[in-house]
Amino acid sequence: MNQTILYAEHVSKSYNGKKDKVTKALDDMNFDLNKGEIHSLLGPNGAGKTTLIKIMATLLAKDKGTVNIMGFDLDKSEREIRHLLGYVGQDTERSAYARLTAKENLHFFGSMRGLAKEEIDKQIDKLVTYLGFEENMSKQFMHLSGGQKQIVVLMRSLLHSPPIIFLDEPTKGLDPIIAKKIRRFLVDLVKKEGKTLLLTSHILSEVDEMSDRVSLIHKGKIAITDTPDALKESVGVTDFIEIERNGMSIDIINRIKNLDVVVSHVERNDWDSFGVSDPFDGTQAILGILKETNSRVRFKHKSVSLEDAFIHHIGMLEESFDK
Amino acid sequence: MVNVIESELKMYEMPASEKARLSMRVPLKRVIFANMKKEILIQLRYKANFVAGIVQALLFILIFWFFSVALLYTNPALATTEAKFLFFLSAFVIVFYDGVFLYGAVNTVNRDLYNGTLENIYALPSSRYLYYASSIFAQSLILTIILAPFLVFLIFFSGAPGVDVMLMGLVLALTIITMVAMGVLISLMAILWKQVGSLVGVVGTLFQFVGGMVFPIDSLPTVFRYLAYTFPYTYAFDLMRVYSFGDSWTPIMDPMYQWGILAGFAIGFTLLAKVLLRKVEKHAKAKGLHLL
Ligand SMILES: Nc1ncnc2c1ncn2[C@@H]1O[C@H](COP(=O)(O)OP(=O)(O)OP(=O)(O)O)[C@@H](O)[C@H]1O
Ligand SMILES: [Mg+2]
Repeated sequence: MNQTILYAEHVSKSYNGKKDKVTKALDDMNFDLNKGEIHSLLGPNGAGKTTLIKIMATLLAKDKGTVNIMGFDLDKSEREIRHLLGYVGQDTERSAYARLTAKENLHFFGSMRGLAKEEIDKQIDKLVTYLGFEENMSKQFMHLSGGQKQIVVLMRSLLHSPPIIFLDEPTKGLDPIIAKKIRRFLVDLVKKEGKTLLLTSHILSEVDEMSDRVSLIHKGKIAITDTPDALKESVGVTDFIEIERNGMSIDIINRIKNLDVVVSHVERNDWDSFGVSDPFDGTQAILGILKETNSRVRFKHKSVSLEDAFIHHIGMLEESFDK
Repeated sequence: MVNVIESELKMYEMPASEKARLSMRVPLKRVIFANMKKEILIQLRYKANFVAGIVQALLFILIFWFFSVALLYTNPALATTEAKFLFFLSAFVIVFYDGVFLYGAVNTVNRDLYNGTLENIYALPSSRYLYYASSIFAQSLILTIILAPFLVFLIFFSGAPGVDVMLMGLVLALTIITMVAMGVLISLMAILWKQVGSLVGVVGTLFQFVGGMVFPIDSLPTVFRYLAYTFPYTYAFDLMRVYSFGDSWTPIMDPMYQWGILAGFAIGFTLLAKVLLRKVEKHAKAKGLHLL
């Protein structure tokens, strides 16, 4: 049975802007985390992901609702919750003392958490070795590259070995190799040490690879929470067959559209994309028509990705919102 | 979707021993040491500022020397050179530390805003009042290290009786408590409204001059004189004069009352700062700390 380690209920948050302009960032939101899972928050820019994370990290006051983390109420037990969380904010470029070295920054924040020097050193050693960061530890924070800063801030969030970690776009600005390394490190951390990880990311292949569950946030509400596979399935097609439009007649396109196995049709630039309910039958039927009509066109096959699922769901949400 | 009953049933239960460990406060000593180290390292890396600090200290001493000698010539009956030295020395110390106490808190907040560290400080389980206070404390310690040789020399040179020096030390202590609280107050306002930071300089200078540091408040225009009665410095400087010049100085009111008022300022401002800290944090947390 999955154990809930965190839940948020009926959480609302509005920001008051200039001239009575109110932005409703979270609207009666319900959310929960299971112990030991990697959970990703997805949603368009401005959906409210950062707002939710900051509220749960005690950094932002909510207007309404309750949040409970490992049995502690957010309104009553801020200090306990701060002990339990590791937090990496979205803006890491500016988040540590510019004139202190990476190591000095880690020691400062570690001590301010009440850790002893030896504990901090031990934890730093472990992290630095894994992440191959030795030679940057004595550089001042302001002299590190964006990605290196990101790593320092990630290490900072793990110094006290917290059971729950919130990462707001942890691999933003990292090169593919180090991003992969960090993903593997995080997955290991969760699986081996039983941590729980909540992250946001706009890199959907990464979310698909790492996450046990995904929540899609739209206009301040959780629209769907499910496993990445289930989300992809709910698109209703398993694969896309794409055909270059150049030189194809409307007739042929209509014939393909009318096939039983073809569920959807979108035009993408110079390509016609057909969603099919079965990859084998779909490919065979479409190729059959192309062969019959002697259409020698370029042809692609693509499995449904989390990105397709994201676009599909957001599209449906926007539609129902407009009505 | 979660509902209360379901989530409570499945809720992870933390062992009681773990829970107790989490509610422990971060040790005071560790917070203070961490901030001292941070402040010293940062100061040392802004070499220009560090050197400027020493040069400024030397300049101040020269100015005070000049004032005390000048006053001796204009009014030789008032007191001895030693007494004047003592008064100007103590005024000098107040003014000098005032820089740290008033600006220290604001500088800390401004630096946290500039470095973007404020939000990360708030993510820590340690006390924020302690964080601000120990940052200020660390900055004043650095200043003391710079000033110490001059102070020792000047006290030795003044040859004042021990009791007077101690009483003046007490006046200084009360003034410092008031200033720390005012500093925290101002830094809190700087969290709310960024422009407040630049007001500090004006307020500090006003306090010094209207408070009678250079000219006794009797010699000020009437408006300023009334204004002066609302400033803590007025009583601090007057008490300093009482213990420097002895009988030859006529205090603005009974020194006993002045002690009372000074202590009242210290307690009042500290309480006010603590209350405001809570208010400001609430306000800042509603707006989002990163936006500051
Ligand atoms: N401090 C603030 N003051 C006013 N409005 C804010 C503030 N922070 C966020 N907002 C608004 O609240 C909404 C939600 O923002 P939030 O940062 O939570 O989005 P997000 O999902 O993290 O987006 P992104 O993917 O771009 O990071 C947005 O409309 C944003 O403009
Ligand atoms: Mg965000």
